[in-house]
Amino acid sequence: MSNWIVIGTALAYLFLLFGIAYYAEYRMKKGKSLISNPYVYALSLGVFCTAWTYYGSVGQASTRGIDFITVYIGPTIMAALFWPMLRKIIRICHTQRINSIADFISTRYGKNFSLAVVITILCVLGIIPYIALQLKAISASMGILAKSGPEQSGLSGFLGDNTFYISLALAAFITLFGTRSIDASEKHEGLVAAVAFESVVKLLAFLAVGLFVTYGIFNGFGDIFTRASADLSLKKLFVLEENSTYSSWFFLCMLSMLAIVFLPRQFQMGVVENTNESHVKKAIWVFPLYLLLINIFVLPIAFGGKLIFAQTDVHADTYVLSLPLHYGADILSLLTFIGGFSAATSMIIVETIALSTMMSNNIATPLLLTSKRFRSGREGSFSKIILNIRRFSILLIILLAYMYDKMVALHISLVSIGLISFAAVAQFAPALIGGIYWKQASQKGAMAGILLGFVIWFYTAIIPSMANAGIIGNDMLLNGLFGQSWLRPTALFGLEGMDSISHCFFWSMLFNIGSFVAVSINSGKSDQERYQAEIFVDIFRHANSPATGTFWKGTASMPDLSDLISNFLGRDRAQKLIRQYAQRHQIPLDQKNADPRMVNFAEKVLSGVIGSASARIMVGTVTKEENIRIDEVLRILQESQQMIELNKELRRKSLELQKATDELRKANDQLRDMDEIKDEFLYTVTHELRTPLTSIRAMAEIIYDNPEMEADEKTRFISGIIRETERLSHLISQVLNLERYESGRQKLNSSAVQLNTLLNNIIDSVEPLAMEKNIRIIRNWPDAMYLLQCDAALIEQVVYNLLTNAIRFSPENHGIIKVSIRNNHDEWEVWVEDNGKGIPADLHTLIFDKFFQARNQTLRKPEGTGLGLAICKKIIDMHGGKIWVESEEGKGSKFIFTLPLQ
Amino acid sequence: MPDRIKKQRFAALAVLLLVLFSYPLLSIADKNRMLAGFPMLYLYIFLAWAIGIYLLYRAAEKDNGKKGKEP
Repeated sequence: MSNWIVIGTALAYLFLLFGIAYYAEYRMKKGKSLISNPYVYALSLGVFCTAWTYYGSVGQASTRGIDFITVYIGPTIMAALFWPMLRKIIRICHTQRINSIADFISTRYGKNFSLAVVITILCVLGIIPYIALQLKAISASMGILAKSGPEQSGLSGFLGDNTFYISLALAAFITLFGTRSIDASEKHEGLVAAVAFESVVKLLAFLAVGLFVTYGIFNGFGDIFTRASADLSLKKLFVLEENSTYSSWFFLCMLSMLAIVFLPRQFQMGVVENTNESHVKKAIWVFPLYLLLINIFVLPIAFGGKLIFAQTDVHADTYVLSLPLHYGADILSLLTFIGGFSAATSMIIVETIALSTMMSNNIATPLLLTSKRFRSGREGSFSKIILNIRRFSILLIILLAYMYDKMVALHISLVSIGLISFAAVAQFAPALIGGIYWKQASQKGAMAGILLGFVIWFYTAIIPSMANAGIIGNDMLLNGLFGQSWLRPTALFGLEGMDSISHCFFWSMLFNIGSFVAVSINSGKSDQERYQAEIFVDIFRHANSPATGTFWKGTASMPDLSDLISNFLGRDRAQKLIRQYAQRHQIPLDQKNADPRMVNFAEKVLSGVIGSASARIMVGTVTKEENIRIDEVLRILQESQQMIELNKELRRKSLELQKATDELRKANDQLRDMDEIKDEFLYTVTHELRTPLTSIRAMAEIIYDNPEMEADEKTRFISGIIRETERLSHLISQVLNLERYESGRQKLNSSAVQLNTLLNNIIDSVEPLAMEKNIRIIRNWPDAMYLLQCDAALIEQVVYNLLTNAIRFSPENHGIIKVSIRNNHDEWEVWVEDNGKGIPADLHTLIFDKFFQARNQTLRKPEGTGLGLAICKKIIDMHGGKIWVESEEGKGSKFIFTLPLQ
Repeated sequence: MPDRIKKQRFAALAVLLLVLFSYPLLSIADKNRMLAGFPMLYLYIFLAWAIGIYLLYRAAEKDNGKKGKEP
């Protein structure tokens, strides 16, 4: 493939990026943001996958098996913590206008300058090689595609190197879209859109190669793995323990967990460029899914490459590109190259933006601001100078990376560079995570931890890699510093058997965390630090607290303040911001002295531009009395916090009260209902009692009034009286029974009972009654044991009631009553059937109510007390059974009750 | 507070994932054996990963549906 096609494609792709970024910014200006979308946010996190992922994973997989996957497993585990942790960091950044990880940590620890400087230096040292790695990937892939080395053209040195021009084009792109606005905490919409787009490109390209290798060259996953398993040296890669150790696996997972949040480019995309906290929710699963997809074909490509290029000297790092090229798939090769190119460029773009912001805000600007001459600048002049500093930083970073690539990177293995960067940024984790959860964490502790971690990182990671590259002698590696063998960089304090990155990670983190915690506990903190700690740790509670706004108590004149902001943002923009803020908080602008809130606002605005530490100094220069009583502010903050707590407590209490009231009301309603039922019951009972009483009295009066009555007649009346009295006492005893069951005073007197015997006894006793009406009772059960546990006397009463009812309602002379027993799993069913007039369906449940008959006297002439079925139901309920009726009018009725065996 | 519960759910998930991808669970699958055409370890890692992502999806999107039902 011609060199020019390759370069042309790369440049065309860069132009496409320009177009996308430009379009995104155009959309933003029209108020229709392209990037304010959870999926775009999740994709922009895909900047994590660099050329190292794209080419290096396959290389690593082909020599060490699945070890490489830790770099993606770690972020997946961390994704679960996005909601509790990342969201908190985002909230802090947005309320404090923080624009980089260095800014974040320095702001937390009292807006400390030196901390920001140290972090920036560590970032630059740790990340520049990583950027160089991307440039190396670009030049190498171009070389492979053009089937010749990168320096093949006639020109000598960097002028003949494609990578040099690509680097310059990238620098131009970053300058154009990365330094649009002076406010670094503002979103770079164009850049984010371009990066999200690149994430899609590299994923699709890698999937395309993967499909080509897996299903085009080979016959699917199974085919590749089966063939690989035939080769002993490849089969060894199937098992982790043969190539690595579990402890190394664990440490790499941890390292990657930290990297996904603390790498400057991840912090830039995940935190600074986040437009909406809720987007995190989508990223929690979309981002790991992205990682899974981009890794699916790594192993097949690695093994495929090993199988195909077994006897050649094709390097495993290049399989992704070499395989389609080897099979003459030119278009696919070009697409693959673009995928790798996009992986490299997206990383370079974002990392450079993040680094340049840090460099200009934390190193260059503070230096300039402290010079007297600079301070007397004209309005708006600062903004130009700062923007130029940032542009210069971008160019500087890219050139440094380019030089590193040309001079050093040739000698160092690719994979280790990425992991060394991971280990560098992991040094921020204790200070940052501790800073947002632990109020006691102090600036001195953070400084101690980061510095010590930094030193150990350098000693255990950089020194060995330099020695390996031949930059320094091998002597220190073998014999240790000053010949002390316990100081060997790869076996510090005699710790051997770990791979160099795990070793570096373990020692640096141990010393980092240890000193961070120890110094924090034992050191005092300034008021400023205590205040920041309060805000950071309790950000979700303080976000709306008015006290966060009253920080400055010194007096600043309004014109001075407005001039200061104008210097950085230009007069128009400054005036607009001030007016908007004043309107929103109803601050009068015509007073000579600025409102404290306005001073605080000015500091926040400047923070976005030059970082919080510098902003603090700048605002300090215009406030007359810098003697702010921070402890007082802290007190206000805490008091308002207490108020909020108190308020919450009150609300909780009143809620509880409300609940109790509701419960009481419900209980009251229930009581009233029951009272009504009782009244109704009493009314019906007395009514029922009166009927027999009336007839007794009437008959007694007749006898009394007619002494001459015939003996026959008299006997008839007296027997009537006796009958009515019996009915009366029966009624009363039934009422009493019912009351006893309902109140629960009746205890079950359970014993083992033969159901058939019980039924026989009752039927025997009611048979004479049936004979009177010439009704036949059929006993319908086979001879067997029908054992169950129940209160025999009560069940007898039920059966008696049902039978007497059946006899009462069966037609004279041809009435038939059938009593049956059925077994139904764990219960007995007893059926009492008659061929009487039946019961209409709508009454099937009502008849089991108390006094149903009495209340429905219009339906039929009352027979019995009307309590019998209610009592039956109560008794069966007490036994845990059921009772119901199946009947149709004119077709007889069937009363069924069940009794559980136990 | 629902957010507190949600945070705890995620913390638990993080622990679960860490355990799934660490020794000793990892060593169960780490054998020189093929399963359905895949080396057992590879199959385990990708399956556990996919399940982990599904659980993350459930945890992240769970109260979305609920929000609509709340008065």
